[in-house]
Amino acid sequence: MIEKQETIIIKTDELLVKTAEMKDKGCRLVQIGCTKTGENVYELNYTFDENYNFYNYRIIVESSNPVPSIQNLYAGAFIYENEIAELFDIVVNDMLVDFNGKLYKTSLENPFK
Amino acid sequence: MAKKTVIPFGPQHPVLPEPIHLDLVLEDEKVVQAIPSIGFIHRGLEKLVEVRDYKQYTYVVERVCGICSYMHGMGYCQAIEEIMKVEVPKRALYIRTIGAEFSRIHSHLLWLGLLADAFGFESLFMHTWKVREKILDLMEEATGGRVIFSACLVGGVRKDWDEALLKKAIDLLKEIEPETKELASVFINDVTVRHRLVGVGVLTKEEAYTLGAVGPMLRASGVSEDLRKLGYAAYGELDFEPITETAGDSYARCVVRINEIFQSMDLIKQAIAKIPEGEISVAVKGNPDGEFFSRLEQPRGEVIYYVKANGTKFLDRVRVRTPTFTNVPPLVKILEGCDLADVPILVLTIDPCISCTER
Repeated sequence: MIEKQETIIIKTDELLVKTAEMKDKGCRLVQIGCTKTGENVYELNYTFDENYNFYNYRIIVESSNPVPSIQNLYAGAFIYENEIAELFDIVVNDMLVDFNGKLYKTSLENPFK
Repeated sequence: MAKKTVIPFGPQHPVLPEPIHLDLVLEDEKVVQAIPSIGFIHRGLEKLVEVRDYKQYTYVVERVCGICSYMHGMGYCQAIEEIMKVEVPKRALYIRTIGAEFSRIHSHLLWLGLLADAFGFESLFMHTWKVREKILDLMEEATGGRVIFSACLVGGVRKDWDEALLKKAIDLLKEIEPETKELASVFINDVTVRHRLVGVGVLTKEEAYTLGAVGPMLRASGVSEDLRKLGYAAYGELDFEPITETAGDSYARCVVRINEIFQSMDLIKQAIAKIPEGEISVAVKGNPDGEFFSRLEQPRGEVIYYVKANGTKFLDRVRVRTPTFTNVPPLVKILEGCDLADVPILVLTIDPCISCTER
């Protein structure tokens, strides 16, 4: 095995607390990814790394339920949050940098929804 | 108060090998804000996973990008192998490593050539790509392709590098190493090149870390992080350390890439000296069931292949987080406050691969 990877499922309202813990630990944000798992149900993976140690937190959301933005902790998260908002139609609240649907030019709206 | 003007940069621009659009908000000649928009070559490749079985999908991921093709295939195969607990033969791991490092050399030479071209240093661009051509010739002999290599498959590699080919690889390194040193000395020492790069587009260590920079963009700002240290493929048996600089400017990013070329040459020599005899692939039966984040160090930085499988031949999800995608926030940061004339160079210093970014 290349590296041990554990995914911890958390609630949406725990996301900011866990992200702040990762920030305090000195972790960098690796990625935020979205997977459709059912009709209007999505998994969001928030992956962090600290000195090659892998951390992955997962929240499960319905498309109508908003997710808080982590941009105030990780400014670079704007690229991921706007991507998942535009491709999957996930509502991300309080984004500091919000492209309002204009980051990704696609011929279909929310093509991965 | 200075008047603000918005100038579009891209999607077509002489310095851009691929289309990306930036709205540059200027006050006089200074960029105060850069607003990116992407999607000109978005092909929906991640969506294609719904209609291609997991073995066929190897051909799709290799075509995410032509420059990074080798490691796209490698990253995806690695993810499937981890999920299915496939024991890849050691010889195949070494061949993957050798191919990956040649891929890194050709990618960095490509970038150096584009950088020279951006300065208007056409002869330096031509000489750099001339060296790169020799590597592509070797890769064509080894894999059958110059751009899309189709070298990796789930369970190993498609073609062996026999004794003669490995010797050819060593001879090629002996040939291109002094040529590359000569080119490198121009990039590092030429006063006109330094004038365009030193102190331009500084990204501090703190900014690089919090904005999610990866690869040479991160290491040039003093963060010693290189995913090859995870030990995937044969890297766990090779001796190397991440190449870093501290200035965080465009010159530092150039120096990191140049030094990585020589590091890759050394890694290839180490791998060829240690490569064991044996099989180059194992038969993989059945379907994957589980998930894994495969993390690799591409020439541009960390690439993540997240694969989620459900026990059937079709996967639930393949999510490719490419290094240029995560280097967009640092790019936006370094553009703030720069001169308009420096914009092409700064866009180039993240080594943008827009095919990778948009998938």
